[in-house]
Amino acid sequence: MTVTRYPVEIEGETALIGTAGELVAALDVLQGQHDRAVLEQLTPHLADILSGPKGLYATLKILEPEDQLYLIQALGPQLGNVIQTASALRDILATLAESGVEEKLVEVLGGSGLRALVGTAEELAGVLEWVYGASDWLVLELLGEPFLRRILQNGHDLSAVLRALDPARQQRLIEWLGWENVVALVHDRRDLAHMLRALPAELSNRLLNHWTRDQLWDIVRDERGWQYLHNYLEAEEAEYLGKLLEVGNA
Amino acid sequence: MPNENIATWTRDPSKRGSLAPLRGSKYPMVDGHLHVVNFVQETPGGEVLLDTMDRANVGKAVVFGLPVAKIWAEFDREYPDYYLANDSRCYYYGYTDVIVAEMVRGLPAEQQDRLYPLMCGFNPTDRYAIRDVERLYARYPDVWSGIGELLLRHDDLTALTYGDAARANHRALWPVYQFAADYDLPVLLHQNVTAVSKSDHPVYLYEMEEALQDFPRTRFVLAHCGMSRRVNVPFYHKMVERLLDQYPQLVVDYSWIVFDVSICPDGVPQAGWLELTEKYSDRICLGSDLVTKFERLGPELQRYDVFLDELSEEARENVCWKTAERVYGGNKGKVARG
Repeated sequence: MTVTRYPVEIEGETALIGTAGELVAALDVLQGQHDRAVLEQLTPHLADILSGPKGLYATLKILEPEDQLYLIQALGPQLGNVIQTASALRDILATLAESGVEEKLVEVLGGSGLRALVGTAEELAGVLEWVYGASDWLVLELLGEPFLRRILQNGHDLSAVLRALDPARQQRLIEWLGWENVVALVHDRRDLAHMLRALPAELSNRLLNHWTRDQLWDIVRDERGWQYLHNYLEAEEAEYLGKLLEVGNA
Repeated sequence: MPNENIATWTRDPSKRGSLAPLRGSKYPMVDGHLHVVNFVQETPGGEVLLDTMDRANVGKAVVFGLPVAKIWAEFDREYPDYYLANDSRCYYYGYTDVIVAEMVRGLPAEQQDRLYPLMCGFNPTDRYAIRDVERLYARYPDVWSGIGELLLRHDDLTALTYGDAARANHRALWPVYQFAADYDLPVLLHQNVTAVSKSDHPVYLYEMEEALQDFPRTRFVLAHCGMSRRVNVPFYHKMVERLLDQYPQLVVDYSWIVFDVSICPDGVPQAGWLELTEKYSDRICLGSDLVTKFERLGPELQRYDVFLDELSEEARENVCWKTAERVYGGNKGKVARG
């Protein structure tokens, strides 16, 4: 494979850079004193040089936050092509230590970039695992409600996403999707168990209130199902569900 | 290998930054210690290697794979790319030699002459090891310049590798050492002089010395003078000098962290090491010990300049070129010729 190399010049010295490894080596021998200047000179070629998530990760790792922001912005619409997969996005987000940089990464990817990377609820949960606060919601908003409805196939899927959110945003997501739609995602006791596990007692109880006793037994199915569920629940939740099912503690 | 103690892998804002180190040492050099396959058994390939050597002022290189492969474990979400990347184990991986041999054979003949490939892909705790060495010599008779780098006592890698702890005095290696003696081939060993938890004395040095004593006609090369991550002992250069005094068939390489930790800490050449190097320059090679990452070749070798500048011209030429040429050169095809 032929590597195309691009020149950089710093204080009269020149080097040709064609790979992420070469870029990182150059930034290192410059002792971090010229990171921005090198990135600026290579801006049109950065996506070509980084070429994939390993290259982006290696470069982000050595940059100061302000230069991480520059790099992300410079990649612009090519950022998604560099990251390539949802698991790579997850791993890169996991290593970023500045919420402003995480937010910029998500913003630059945008809705179409995120939708190209994230294909399943599990992948979305992996991404949400490593963004915090407002960035969580930004990811969800950029993906959009129709997309979320498409990838959230059941309660287990939704619970994986809910686990990555704080209680306020859990409620916001449920209300955004609509309680009735969320209820409809719970197909069996496994879905119910994971939903109840993911939600705080107050939201769990609100969810449970959408079913009658008979509907709940249709989900739980039998005594074994109740015991299975019981293992997942906090005492308060178990007591409340037991009351709705009209059974004692397992 | 990358390491937190190596100056070129960390940034120091107090130093003047310059792109010049990418062009390598000002002295032409044989890189006497270069892994062209990484711990997940991947290589950038021979063309990339030679292109980088040209750009880093490296004339020739002693190249080899890695005898162990890091497992991408079922429980690991992220794939590892280095033996210390996570807790997963390593296992012996013979195919590493095939990767190296095919890489070398795929190059034009004049470029092949710039590489001294060593074989290492066998289990050094298995008494069938000699069979594997002989097989590889039979399969690629024109490729190999010796045996190594065998990973024996090796900081955390020993604990991470399945099977018995590999060590220089393991009896499974005795026939391999004899084979090397019979054909006058070098054997490059990574044998830590001590354990990571014992920095007050060299608890594993005797293992190396047993091999040296039992095989006086085998040319051993002690990689990075037996130093490794978190491995150090008092009077290190005295110990190396004693070994070189006592065992005429021993060669050492200055590579990896021995340079930054002991020979030239904080970029200051140590007098004891300078004297030792003058005395034994014909038994000392220089190497990068890079694990692929060829783009680092220039800075890795350029960092030796501050030390090389202090040597006599004769000693400098020896450690930069002549010793490696004498130890590793002229060995291809020896076994087939008998």
